[in-house]
Amino acid sequence: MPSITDKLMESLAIDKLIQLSEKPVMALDALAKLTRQFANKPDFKNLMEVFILTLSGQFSVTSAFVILRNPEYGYEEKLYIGTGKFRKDERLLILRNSKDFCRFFHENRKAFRIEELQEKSDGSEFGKLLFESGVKIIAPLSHENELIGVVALGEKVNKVAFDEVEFDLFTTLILTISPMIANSYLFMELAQLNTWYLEILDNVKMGVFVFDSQYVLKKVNISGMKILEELVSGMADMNSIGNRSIQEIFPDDVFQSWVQRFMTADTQNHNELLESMVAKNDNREFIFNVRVSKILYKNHYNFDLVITLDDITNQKQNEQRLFELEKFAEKGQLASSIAHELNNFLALILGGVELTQLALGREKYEKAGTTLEKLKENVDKMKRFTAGLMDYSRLNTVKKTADLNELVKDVLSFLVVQKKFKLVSIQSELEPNLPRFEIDKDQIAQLLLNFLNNAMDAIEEAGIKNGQIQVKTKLQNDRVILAVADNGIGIKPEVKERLFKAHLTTKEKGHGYGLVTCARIIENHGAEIAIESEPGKGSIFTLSFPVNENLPDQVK
Amino acid sequence: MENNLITHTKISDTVLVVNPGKNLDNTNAHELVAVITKAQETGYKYIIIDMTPLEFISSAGVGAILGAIETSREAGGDIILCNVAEVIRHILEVLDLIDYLTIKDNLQEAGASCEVYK
Repeated sequence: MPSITDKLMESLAIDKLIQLSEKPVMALDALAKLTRQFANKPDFKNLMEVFILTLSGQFSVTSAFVILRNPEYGYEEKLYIGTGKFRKDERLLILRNSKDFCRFFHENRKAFRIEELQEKSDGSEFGKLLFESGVKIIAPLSHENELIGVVALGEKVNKVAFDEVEFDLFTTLILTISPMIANSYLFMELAQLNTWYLEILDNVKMGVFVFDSQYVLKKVNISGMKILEELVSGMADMNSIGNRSIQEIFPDDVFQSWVQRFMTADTQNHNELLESMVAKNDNREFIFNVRVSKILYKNHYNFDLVITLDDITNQKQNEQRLFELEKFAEKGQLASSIAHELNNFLALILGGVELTQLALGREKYEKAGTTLEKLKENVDKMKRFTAGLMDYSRLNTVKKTADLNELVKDVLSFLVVQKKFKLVSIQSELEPNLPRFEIDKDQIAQLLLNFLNNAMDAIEEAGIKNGQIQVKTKLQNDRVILAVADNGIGIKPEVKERLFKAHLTTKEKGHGYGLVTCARIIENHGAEIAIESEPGKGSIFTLSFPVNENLPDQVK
Repeated sequence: MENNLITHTKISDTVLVVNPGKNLDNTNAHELVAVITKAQETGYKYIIIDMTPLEFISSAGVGAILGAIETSREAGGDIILCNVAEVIRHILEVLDLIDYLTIKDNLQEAGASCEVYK
């Protein structure tokens, strides 16, 4: 490429040469100064302003502007700088976000006169806008394939078009200074990126502490400061806590031996999570989830220790509250299930009364006497039940060795006389060689009653006439099995899943608590329950009790 | 730096005299822009740049003045240069600016020209 001076020699008359050659000299002088400034001082915005002023002075134009591309990170600095009438021309601002405009200069890395640009860009919007704004020449600022922005000049004060020499000078100036601007711009971008990260750090809810290899504090974010202010005295502001050791930042009397745990934390591959770490002073107590991680430097000797404190005090409090609410809800459930059980007892008592009436009617006083005796027993049971179940925590299981078959017979003898059960046939098939084993008779009776009642309800709901309930006991692989089968309406699979959870009922008048109590009783006996059911055909509830296992006498 | 200090003196509600110091270049051109822009926004129609002490002006300095002129003239005012040293005048000539700029010999004439425009 021929030098500016060569061009001048070719194209200019001698008498003008002296005058005009001063222009490039002046330009070079200005360029040299600017370059030095860009190299020394990274006040980018200021330098760009001077750059624009230099260009407009150099080319005797009243207006010039530079548009810089949006930095990828951070908030916007002033990315449009103009002088003269471009200073306030906001229309030009939109070029910053114009993809066509950026693409054009990405593909054409050279200076254009406005007419040439309009032609080349084929009547583009940005070409029209630039023309209307009064732009005369425009050039991209780029360096190593990166487009940083564009520079443009308006009309010269003498209204004469830019000649070839001036155009070349403009091109040369821009080309020469572009790398400086690019580096300076990237530096600014980096600085902004840094600020951006720091701001993010300060905006996170978690306290972040960074220590160097000597365990001296390097950086703490605002949340971290707040934590220290709450807990450690003498932590006035961020400036005063620099250069403090990790032991000073996390004193053992407040952060109970945390430092020791940080030192021994396994940070080899991942960060380590230390859960529910407690920190407290005289006034306050906090619970944190703490993460410890190490950032190794390239030399592998130095590192940054990053400690992140996530305040989960509220979360823990909420969990506690939730737990209490759950307990409360359970009590509510229990109250309902007690009512449900009482109904069952009342049914038994009613059965007893009916039996007594029958016996008395047939003048079988002895029989009436035993029935009344059993009735009394049941009232006693009910008393014990209410006393024992009023409070969930007092639901104690008192197990004694007993005969399950006897228990089943007892329960059935009371049921069969009840009106409700008279409509179905109840058969029992009891294994005669059943071993005696430890059960809480009251609870198992309650359980069986519940199953039978449910079976009866299922039959009623099915609306069938030949309702059948079968109660079986048997011995199977050292376990005692108690099964209640019915040919009622059956249980839908999705209902089966939730059967032992509270609030589930499929019955119109039910409340769904009966089986919750059953679940507790089954649990108390270390028993297992299996439910086979086919909608429309009936259900089988099978309980299996461990016989040989020595269960603790009292299971909560 | 003391030499490049830009100062200004108010002589009427519409006229402000700005003194650019010894050098007007990369280091203080944007300051001149700031001073003039603020003056224009405050309502000064005429800004007289008294170049008495000025020994050097760079392209940036020239650019700063050029950028302000258009705004001034659009608002019916002007930027007037006075006490322009020979070396500065030469630079303005090289840049083809003599005809475009309003240049007066001294402050008095410059002030009077503002009266005339009024």
